[in-house]
Amino acid sequence: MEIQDRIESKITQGDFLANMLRVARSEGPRLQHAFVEHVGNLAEKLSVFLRANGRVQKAAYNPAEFWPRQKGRAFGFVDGGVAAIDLPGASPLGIRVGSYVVRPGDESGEREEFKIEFSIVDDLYAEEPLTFDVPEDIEDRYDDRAKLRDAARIISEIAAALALSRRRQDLGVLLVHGPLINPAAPYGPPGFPHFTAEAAESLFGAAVARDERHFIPLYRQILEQLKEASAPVFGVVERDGGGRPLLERLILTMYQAGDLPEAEKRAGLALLRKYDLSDAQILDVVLEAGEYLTPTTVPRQEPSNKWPKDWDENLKVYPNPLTTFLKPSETVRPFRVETFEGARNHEEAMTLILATARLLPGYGFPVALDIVDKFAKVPSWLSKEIGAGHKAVLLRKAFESDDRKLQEYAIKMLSVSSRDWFFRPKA
Amino acid sequence: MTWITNSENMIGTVVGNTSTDSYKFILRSFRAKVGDIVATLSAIPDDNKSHGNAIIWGRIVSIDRHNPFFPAEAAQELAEQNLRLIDTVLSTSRDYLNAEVLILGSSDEDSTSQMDLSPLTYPVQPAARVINPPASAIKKLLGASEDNVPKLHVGSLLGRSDVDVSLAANKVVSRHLAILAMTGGGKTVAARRIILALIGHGYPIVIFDPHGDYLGFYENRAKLPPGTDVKLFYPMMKVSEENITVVSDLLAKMGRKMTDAQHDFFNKIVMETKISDGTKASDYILELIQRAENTAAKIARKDKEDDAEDSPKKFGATTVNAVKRSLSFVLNALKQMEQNNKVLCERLKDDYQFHEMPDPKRDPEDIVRKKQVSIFYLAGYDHLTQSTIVSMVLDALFSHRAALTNRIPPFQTVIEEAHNFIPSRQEGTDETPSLMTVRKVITEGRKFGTGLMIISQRPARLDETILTQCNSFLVLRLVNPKDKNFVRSVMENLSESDANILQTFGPGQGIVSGQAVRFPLLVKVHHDKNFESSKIGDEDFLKAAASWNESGTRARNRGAFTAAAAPTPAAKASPDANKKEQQPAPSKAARSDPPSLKFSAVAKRKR
Repeated sequence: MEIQDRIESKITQGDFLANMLRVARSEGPRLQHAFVEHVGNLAEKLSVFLRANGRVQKAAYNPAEFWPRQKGRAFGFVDGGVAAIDLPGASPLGIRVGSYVVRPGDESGEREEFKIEFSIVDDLYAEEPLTFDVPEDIEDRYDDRAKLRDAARIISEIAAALALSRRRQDLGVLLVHGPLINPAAPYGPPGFPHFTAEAAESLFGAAVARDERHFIPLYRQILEQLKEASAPVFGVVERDGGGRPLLERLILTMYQAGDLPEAEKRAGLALLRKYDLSDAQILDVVLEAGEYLTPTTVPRQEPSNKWPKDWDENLKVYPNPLTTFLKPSETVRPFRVETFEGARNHEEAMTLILATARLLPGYGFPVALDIVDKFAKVPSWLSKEIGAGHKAVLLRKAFESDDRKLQEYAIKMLSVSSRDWFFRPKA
Repeated sequence: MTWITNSENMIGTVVGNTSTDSYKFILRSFRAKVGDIVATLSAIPDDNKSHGNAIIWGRIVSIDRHNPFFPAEAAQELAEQNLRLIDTVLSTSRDYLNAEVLILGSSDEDSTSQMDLSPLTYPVQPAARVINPPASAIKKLLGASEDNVPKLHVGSLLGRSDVDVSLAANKVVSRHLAILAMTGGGKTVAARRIILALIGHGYPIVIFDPHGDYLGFYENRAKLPPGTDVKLFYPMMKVSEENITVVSDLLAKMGRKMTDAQHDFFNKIVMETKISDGTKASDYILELIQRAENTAAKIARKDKEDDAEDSPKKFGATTVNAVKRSLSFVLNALKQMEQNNKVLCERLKDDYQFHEMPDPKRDPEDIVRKKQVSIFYLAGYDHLTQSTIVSMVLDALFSHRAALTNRIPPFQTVIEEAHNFIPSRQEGTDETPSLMTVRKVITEGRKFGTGLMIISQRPARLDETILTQCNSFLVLRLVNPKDKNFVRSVMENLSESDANILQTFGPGQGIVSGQAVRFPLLVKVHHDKNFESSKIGDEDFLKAAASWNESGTRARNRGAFTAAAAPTPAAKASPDANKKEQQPAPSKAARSDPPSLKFSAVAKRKR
C-alpha cells in the first residue's frame, strides 16, 4: 500500500483526527485542506530517507516454516499484575509477576510452565511495611504513594525476568511485557525510601548492601544482571507513551555521525515537531507489514538536568535500550521493542516477535505476552473482595467503639459522599 | 478419615452463588464428566438451632470448558496458515472447567448401612470441596444395600461401570414404565433387559409385538430361568355361548357406531343364530350377515303375513342394511386377519411354534400364568386389527383382575410401538380402540397389578394422559425437538440440562427417572445380545435385492390363476408354448398373447 493510501485509511482514526483538528485550529483554514498532503509529504520524505540510509529492515513471516524450526526451543514471557484497591485509611499494595515458558512442538506434559515468579502484598501505611523502609520519624514518611507503587511494580517485573532467566537457562528468548528500561530519575527525589533488606534480597535474589537498596541502584543492578543473562531479553511495549524519541534520536545520531547536514537535521526535526505526531503514528504509515526500524540506542534517563543529585553518578551509567518499532501487519500500528545494547540474535528475535504477534492478527501484539498478562492479572473479583473485607472490618471496629460520631464517620466514609447525586434535593 | 474428607477424592471447588437446587464448581481436569454423581460436605442447620455436617449429593448436568489463553483471533490465524497449535507459543494447558451440579438431596454424614436422601434446605457453602465418591458410597446411595427389595437390574451408571443401576421392581409392575427413544436409541434393548429381569422374578408378562422384536425370547428360551415358558400367539377370534359378546365387542371396536334400532336388530339376529362352541368369529358373522340379508329380502317383499312382535316390519331397510354393512366390515377385517395368520404360520413354521390366541375372556389362564411370557405377534395385520386385538385382550385380562376373580395373577403388559396403540388426539383416534382400554388400565391398573410398559420412538405422538400416568421413565436418545419438549412436559423431574443431553446419548445410554429410582440417573443399559432374534430384525435387504431372481419368480407364478382356463390358440398350436414362457427371458409376443385374447372376449360379451 502506498503511503498516501495508508494515510487516507488512517485519517479517520482517533489520534490522526485529534491531531488534525488541533493543527487545523492553530494553523487556520489553509491547513484544513492541506493536512493529508502535508503529512503525506512528511511520511514520504521520511520513508525515502530511512530506506535510502538502510534504516528499515524486514522480518520474514513464513509461519509454516518458522514454527516447525522452533521445535524444542524454549521461550519465556513475563508480565506483572497490580491489584486495584482503593481503601480509606490504608494504602494496599498487591503485585504479582507471572512467567510463561513454552516449548513449541513439544508434545509432552512439560511443554508449558506457568509460574508466579514474584509477588508483593503489603500496606504502605503499615507501621512496618514489608516493601519500603520507614524513616525514624514517622512524619517524614514519603507521601507520593503512587510513585512508591510504580517503583515496586517496575522493579518487581524486571526482577521476575531476572529470576526466570536464572532458573531457566534453556531459554532462547525472553520477552517482558512493557519497557525494558524505565526512566529511574522520578524515583530518586530526596526522601524516597529504600527497600527493606528482605524486599531487596527477594528482588535481587541475593543480599543487598544498605546503600544499594534504593530503587535507582537496585534497578540498575538488576538490569545489568539481566543484560548478562544467557537469553536475549526484549521489552515489548503495548501502548506507546507518545513523543518521538526514536525518530528524533535517529536524526541526531545520523547528524552526529556526519551523515546528515545541519540544515536537513533542523528541517527534519522541525517537520516532526510541526505535526506533533508520535513515533508510532508516523511509522504506522511509513513501515510496511513486517518492517521495523534499525534499532537505535535511546538514552532513557535523559534529560540529565532533572537527575536527583544523590543519584546522578548512578544514572549516568544506567544501561540504555536499543529501541525499534515493528509493524506486525498492514492493519495495526507498530509497537515498540526494546533490548539491551549489544543484544545477540536480534534479527532472529524480531522474527519471533513478529510471528507471535501475527498469531493475534487483529490486535497485532505477541500472543504469549497476552497469555502471561492474563495469567498474572489480579482479577477484579479478588480486588473487590479485599476492599469489601477491609470495609467490613473497619465498620465493625467503629461499632465496637460505642462512639456515635465515629460510627457516623465510618458509615459516611464507606458509603457515599455527601456530594453524591443521591443526596441532591428532590423536586 | 472417611471418603468425604479424603483430599485424594477432591475434584473441584464450589464457586459463585449457590442455592438449594444447584451449584457450580471449578472442576479439575479429567476428574469427572457429565452425569457423574458428586458429593460435598456442608453445614446444615437442625431443629435445635445448631448445625451439623451433611453430605450434599448432586449430579453433574453440564460442564463448560474454557481456555482464556486462547483468543479466537489466534484460531483464525492457525486455520489460515494451517498451523498446529502445539507448534506455536499458544497455550493449551490452562483450560478451566466450570461444572454445574443439580442437587439430589442430603444425607447424614455418618450414615453407615443405608443412606436416606432428604431435600436440601440450606445452600451449599461456596468454596466447599467437591468430592468424587467411591463406588461403595454411590451404591449405598442408590439403595443397593436394601437387599430385600426386589430389583430389576438395567445396567450401570453412565461412565461408571462399577456402579450397577437397578429399578425398584414393585414400582415398575404397579406404577407403569415408559421407555422412549428414537429409532436406534436402544429402546428394544432396554425393554428386553427389563423383561428379562422380570422373567428372573417369574413375573407373568404379556407382550404385544408388532415387529417381532421379542421373538428372541422364544428362540433362546432354553437360556431363560428353568420353568419359564414362552408362548407365541397369533390372533384368532372365536365365539361360544359363554362369550357371545365377542361379536358385539368386535362391532363396537372395529365397526361404525350403531343406533339403538341397529342394536336391537343386531341383538335380534344374534338371538336367532345358533352358536356352536369354537366357531370362528368370521364364520359366525357370515351367518349373521346371511340372516340380515334374509330379513332385508323379507322387507323388500313386504311380507304382510308375519305380524309377530319381532317382525321385520319393526326394522326399516336402512337399519338392516346398516347392520349388514358393519358386519361385512368386521368380516372383511377378520378374513384378512385369518389370511395373514395362514401366511405367517406357513412362513415361520420352521422356526417358531405359533398357537392360536386363547379366548382372553374365557381362558385368561392360558395367557397370564406364572413364569410365562405370552407374545402376541402382530406383524402384518392392519392398524385397526392390531389395535382391536390389544384392546380386546387387555380389556378381558384387566376385567379378570378388576373383578377379583382370582383366575390370573398380576402381570406386566408390554406395548411396543405404543404410538400406534395410544395415539394423541392430533393423530386421530377413530380407528384405535386400544386407546380407551389402555387409558382405563393405566389409570386403574396400579390397584389391580396390571402394570404397563409403554415403548415408543415418537413420544410426541402418544396420548398425554396415558404418558403422565407412567411414574417411571427410561428415556434414551431423542433428537426430535417436539419429542424432547413433550418428554419434558410429562416428566416432572427432568431438568432442562437433562433434556438437552438427550440428543447426545449413544445407543443404550439414557436417563432413568421416576419412582423406580431414588433420583434421576444417567444409565448405560446392559445389552442382552443372547436374546436378540436371529431371524427377524436385521434382514439384509441390499443382499436380498441383489440376489432377487425376478424372472424365476415370475415364471413360478405364471399360470397360478390361469392354468385352469381354456387353452389359448397359441397353446393349442404348440403344446410347448407354456414351457417357452417359463424361459428366463420370454419374447414380447409370448408375454402379451394369452391375456389379450381373454380380455377381448370379455369385452365382446359386455357389448
